[in-house]
Amino acid sequence: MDVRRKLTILADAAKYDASCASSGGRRERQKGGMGNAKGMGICHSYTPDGRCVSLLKILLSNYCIYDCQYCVNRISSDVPRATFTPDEVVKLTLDFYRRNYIEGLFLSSGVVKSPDATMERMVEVARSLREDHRFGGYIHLKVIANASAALIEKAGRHADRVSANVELPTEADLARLAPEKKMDAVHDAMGLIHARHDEAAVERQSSRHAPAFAPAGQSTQMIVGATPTADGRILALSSRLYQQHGLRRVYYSAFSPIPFGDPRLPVKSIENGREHRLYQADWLLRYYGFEHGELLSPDENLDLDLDPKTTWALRNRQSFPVDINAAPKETLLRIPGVGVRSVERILSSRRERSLRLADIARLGVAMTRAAPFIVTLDHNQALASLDDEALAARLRDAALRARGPGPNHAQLSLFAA
Amino acid sequence: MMPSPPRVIATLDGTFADFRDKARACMLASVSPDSVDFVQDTPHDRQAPLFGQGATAMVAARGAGLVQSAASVQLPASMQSPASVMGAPAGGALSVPRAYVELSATVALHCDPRRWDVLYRVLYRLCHGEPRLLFIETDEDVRRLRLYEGAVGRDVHKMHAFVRFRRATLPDGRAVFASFYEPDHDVLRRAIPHFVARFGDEAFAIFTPRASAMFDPERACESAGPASEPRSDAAACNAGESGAAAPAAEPRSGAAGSAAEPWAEGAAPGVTFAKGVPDASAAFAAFRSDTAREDEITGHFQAYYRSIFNPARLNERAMRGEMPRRFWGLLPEARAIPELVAGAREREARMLEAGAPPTGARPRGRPRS
Repeated sequence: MDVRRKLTILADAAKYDASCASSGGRRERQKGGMGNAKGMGICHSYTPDGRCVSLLKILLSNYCIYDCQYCVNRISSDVPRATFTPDEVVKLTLDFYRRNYIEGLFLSSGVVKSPDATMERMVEVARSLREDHRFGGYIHLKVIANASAALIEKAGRHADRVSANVELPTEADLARLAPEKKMDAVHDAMGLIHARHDEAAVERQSSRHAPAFAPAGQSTQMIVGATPTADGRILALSSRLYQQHGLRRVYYSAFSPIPFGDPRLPVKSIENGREHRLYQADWLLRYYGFEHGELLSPDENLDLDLDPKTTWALRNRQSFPVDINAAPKETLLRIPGVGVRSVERILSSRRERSLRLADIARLGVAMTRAAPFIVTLDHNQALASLDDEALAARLRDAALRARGPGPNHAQLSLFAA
Repeated sequence: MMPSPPRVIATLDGTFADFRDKARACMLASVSPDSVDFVQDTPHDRQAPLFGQGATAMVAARGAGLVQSAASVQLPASMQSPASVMGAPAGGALSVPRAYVELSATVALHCDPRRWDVLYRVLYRLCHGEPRLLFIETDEDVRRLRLYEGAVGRDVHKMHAFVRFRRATLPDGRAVFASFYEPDHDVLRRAIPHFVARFGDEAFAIFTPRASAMFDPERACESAGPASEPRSDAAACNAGESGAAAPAAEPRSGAAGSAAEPWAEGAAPGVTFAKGVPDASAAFAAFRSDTAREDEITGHFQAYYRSIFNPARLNERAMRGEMPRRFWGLLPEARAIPELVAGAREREARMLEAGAPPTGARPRGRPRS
């Protein structure tokens, strides 16, 4: 089979993994080599699904001895199969990188023979790129479920990021759809990566030449909507992963219908809107100082029509209005429609002068959502609606109007606060 | 009716350095922002003046110059404290916050001809009682400068993302990775260090309608300055690798001779810049002659782009938001977009069909709690 055909099969098989970030790694170009990483990821292209093409995201092989029901590559799936040699992946990565198509490689694989045998070949790709070709671009290696600690250690030495997927939010979900995977094993792998990452970071503080371990940290992916588990439990797990294992990112991948799906799976179009709201809530956990319990109880789902911060504010009107000219930063961050950048601009500006409603509008704040919740130097007419029962319905209508006609909610910007 | 104040027309060549000089002269002559127009005198403007009736005044002002009253100006007290000095003019020093110098150098790269007036107004206000103006992000002028700054930053980022190199062969047999790109703003020089840091082991060239840049690793070796980016390579060259003495490709091997030599020294070691697209350049000739031949690697990438797209998630609006149509012509993979979009709905329907349980009711939607 030629490389083009393999690439077609093994990219197609990798497209259900949402993560594509190339950020967080810092790496200087080596003498005589190609490639660096500057901490900020670059999206080199976008496919018509709106997703970014940052890394060459492929599987080493889509043969698999496991039978995870949500996965297109499971042993019982009737898809074309292919396996790259490590050299083929190395050459594709270098050729794409040289032409500025990609930031680097994101390599995963079906489980061929055994987890360790598979992981070993993936590590060999990373080793060859770094040692044989002095490649300085970004490398993300997926940890194969149940691979040994020694191989995870080797993976972290060459990769900027290593990651283990939780795949599904609860033990019961795993038992149902991915019987070979155990939540404990995932947590063990994450704990190991976290510990080694921190150790290496400390060692590098005392010696510049100490070997790095996955300097861009770890991420994970959860498939959403393949089981009935509610958003409240999903966010609780994310929160735990951020705190306990120091994850950089949790990716939520709305369950996507796959060819040859198992009868136990839902058959439906994917829930882009739900995925989008989960990302917004995730942002609130990481950048806005919210606890997951403030947003949702365990069996509750996020409101698809309203963003989670607005939902929270409507339920907690006793915390408002917030005085734009006096409130501390953490309180400003909780105003609907106000993002992190806007908060910084408010803080900088109000040290120099007292702010009026028109000043806030100029900063890129979503005024429809923000105005009912704030006090400014001048009279704010919208404030009268703060205690109005109908405010929730009005904001919901405004959100729907702003979104316009469309099949789903995914048109909203991820960064709309 | 009040007589309108005599207007000053400051003619600019479009560079930051020129604006800095003219703005400094205006400041030292206490020219208020209301009585000066900054007019960019690029060849483009000359063909189609953007400021209709100002064109004659512009010519007159060019002759008269702007520095006549500069020497006698007293600096206001508010200008004594700031951090940095905008150069050293003949008529006296003009101090402005370092943040303004950095901001204006970036804003200068924007293509909006009105940017100069906003820059001068903010400069004037900084020096006339509002030394902390740049902290007031809610100010309309500051906001506009921030928007210009953001647009230039995004343009640099998009250039880093969307430049596509193709392998071309020079007459002497060496490879050069060449690209044609069209940024929205004048960001080539700002964008180049990233490419040197990343691809400094090979020769590359980026052509844009306004200017072009060429990087030659061997020239980088020769001029290994103390602050040079590809220092490690330079060190290797100087340590006696055979390549050190080889002639640099572009500037010396060009058959056109020195008179037609389009490349001038650039800021970074090994980088040279040229105005427009230098037709005489061997790299451009090689790039152009290879245009028809899409190499195998390009084909691989197009195949990858098609395969990594998930038709079940079709979201054209999100794609266009990040990758507007004007870039598509520069991206070999974008040729597949219309076909992928058209086929997506149909493919999704087929997948749903294939995934449907053979008998029984199709589960609908997600159970709600």
